Amino acid sequence: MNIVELTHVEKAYGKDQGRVVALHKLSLHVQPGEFTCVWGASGSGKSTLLNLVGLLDRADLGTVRVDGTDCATLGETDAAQFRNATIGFVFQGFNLVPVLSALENVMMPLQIAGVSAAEGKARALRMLADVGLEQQAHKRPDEMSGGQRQRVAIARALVNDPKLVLADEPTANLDSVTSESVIGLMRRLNDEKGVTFVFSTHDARLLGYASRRLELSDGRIVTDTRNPSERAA
Amino acid sequence: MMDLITRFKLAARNAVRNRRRSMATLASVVIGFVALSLFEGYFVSVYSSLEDEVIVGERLGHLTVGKPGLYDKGAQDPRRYAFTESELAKATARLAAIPGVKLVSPRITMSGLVSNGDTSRIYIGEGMRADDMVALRGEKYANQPGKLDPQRTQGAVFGKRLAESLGLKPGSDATLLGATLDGMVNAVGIEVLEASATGSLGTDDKFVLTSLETARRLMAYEGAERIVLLLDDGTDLAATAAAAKAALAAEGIAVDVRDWRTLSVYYNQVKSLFDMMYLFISVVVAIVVLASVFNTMGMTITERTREIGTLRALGMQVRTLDGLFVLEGMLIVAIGCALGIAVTLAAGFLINGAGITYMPPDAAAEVPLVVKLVAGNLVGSLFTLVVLAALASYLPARRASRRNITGALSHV
Repeated sequence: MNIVELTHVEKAYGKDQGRVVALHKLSLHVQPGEFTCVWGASGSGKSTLLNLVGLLDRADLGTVRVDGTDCATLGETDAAQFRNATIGFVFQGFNLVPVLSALENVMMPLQIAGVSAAEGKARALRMLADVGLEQQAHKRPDEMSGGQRQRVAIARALVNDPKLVLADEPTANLDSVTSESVIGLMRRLNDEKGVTFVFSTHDARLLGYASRRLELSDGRIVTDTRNPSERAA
Repeated sequence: MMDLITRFKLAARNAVRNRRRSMATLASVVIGFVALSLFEGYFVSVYSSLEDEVIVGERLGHLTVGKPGLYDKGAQDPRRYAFTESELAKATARLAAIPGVKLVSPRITMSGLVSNGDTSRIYIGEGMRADDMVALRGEKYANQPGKLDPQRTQGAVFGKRLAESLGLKPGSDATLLGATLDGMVNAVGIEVLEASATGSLGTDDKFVLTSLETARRLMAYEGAERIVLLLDDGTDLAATAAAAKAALAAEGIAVDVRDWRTLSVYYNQVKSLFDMMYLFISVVVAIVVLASVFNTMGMTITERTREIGTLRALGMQVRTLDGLFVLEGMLIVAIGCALGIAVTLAAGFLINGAGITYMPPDAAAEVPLVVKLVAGNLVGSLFTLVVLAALASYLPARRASRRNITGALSHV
């Protein structure tokens, strides 16, 4: 079964003459375990695509299925539960809660899911160790570098054992060395945990890490290539 | 579902995130709380003084038993609405047997002219047993001026200005003139025991208090116009009033029983004035706190729009987010109120110890300014302001948490 399945999806913003079509009858299948990169110029529809797959927005037309569930059938409450249980998010601006420590930030999805504090803490610490930040667990985001913050965000995205991680431009705010290190970390976790990753970027240097590249232009997939020579983490 | 400790931790840390703004909100809550609580404490003290003034000072006791129609038609036909001697004896026995009744005190009201032999003034007066006055005053007011003397049944206490206008001093003789119960003119000699301010300018130049014996001689009557009851505990007046009515009905005596709040026009007027002032102050404080919390939380929530989007993306429910912001607003106000309680207690202690006095309207003497702080009222104010804070936080939180997630995530 495909983890992500989009069929003739259309999404537009604005009205009348100001209407901009972000996705044009887009269809896409992503299989479990893939490390997919969506790339393209700014405004090509990358973020819109990830928002629809992440149940952060709804398609105007077409069907979006994630892990076999038709997203249109979920109400707001069910969609929130579904996101919490099935999808992890990594954002361009890290989006960590500034008043919480790295550990508490990573624990957040578990707390939302109702996992006990003790179990949540143990799992979050293990996850922080996986991203190499066990020593930084009690630091707050403003005491960490950009790369460290994004690693915390990756740990937060994975702590709930999601089937799918969506990362919208996760390296846009990082320097090139840190960017490669972050994508490398995501790739390693993809290999180790078998979690499906879909990330967007406009940085061509990172394409080599992806097992599959989807190039978007004006809301359409213009190329969809499997990468036989992908770089190891 | 996020556990309560995490919610509190998150709310507390966010509350101190923008210290300057939170401090400004705290300050407005503390000032509002202190102002409200001190006014409330002052009003409680005034109500308490007024209650004592009415029950003891005006000698109204807790309940007054009279024949039905006494207050409307008693002046036209006093005999019809008075208790006869035998009725009074039966009523006294019955009323004294009611649990919680501490004192049964028969009274007679009189009016007419009081003369020093050369000149006369009008008076209104009351006759009561001197021993009843001792019981009514208890230890707390035993040494207050204006006492009757059980050994001197002809003795009378005069309002200070009445005594001054007639040139009467303690030990002076005077004559009370009035109508008997049957309407005949009568006069009795009395001896001035004391000239004492009644506490009211309206009565201080007219009032005479005599023994029940003197009043009975003047009225040529051995019964009583009404019977005043003093209770051990004045909290359940309605139950005792009903018991009194039932007890006398069993003797074939129909009565009307009124409590001191109903009978004291002055108490009701002052209390309604103070209640209105308190309501006005409460509304002003509530508006200040509401506006302050609304403004603070509104700014906080706007600044944290992206955080709201992130938490919702992670799966947090809208109601949980609303709850977090409401908790944050409540926490700020609860801390403000807790500080307010400490400041109020300190300010109350200082005010009560400062010995400030003032002259209330219609008073004949200065009274001390006292702030009587009641724990229940302080907690009640805290609870009210915290509830208002919840409302003031919920409104901006509701707007933000229901915003489209992608819009919130791209908020700058």
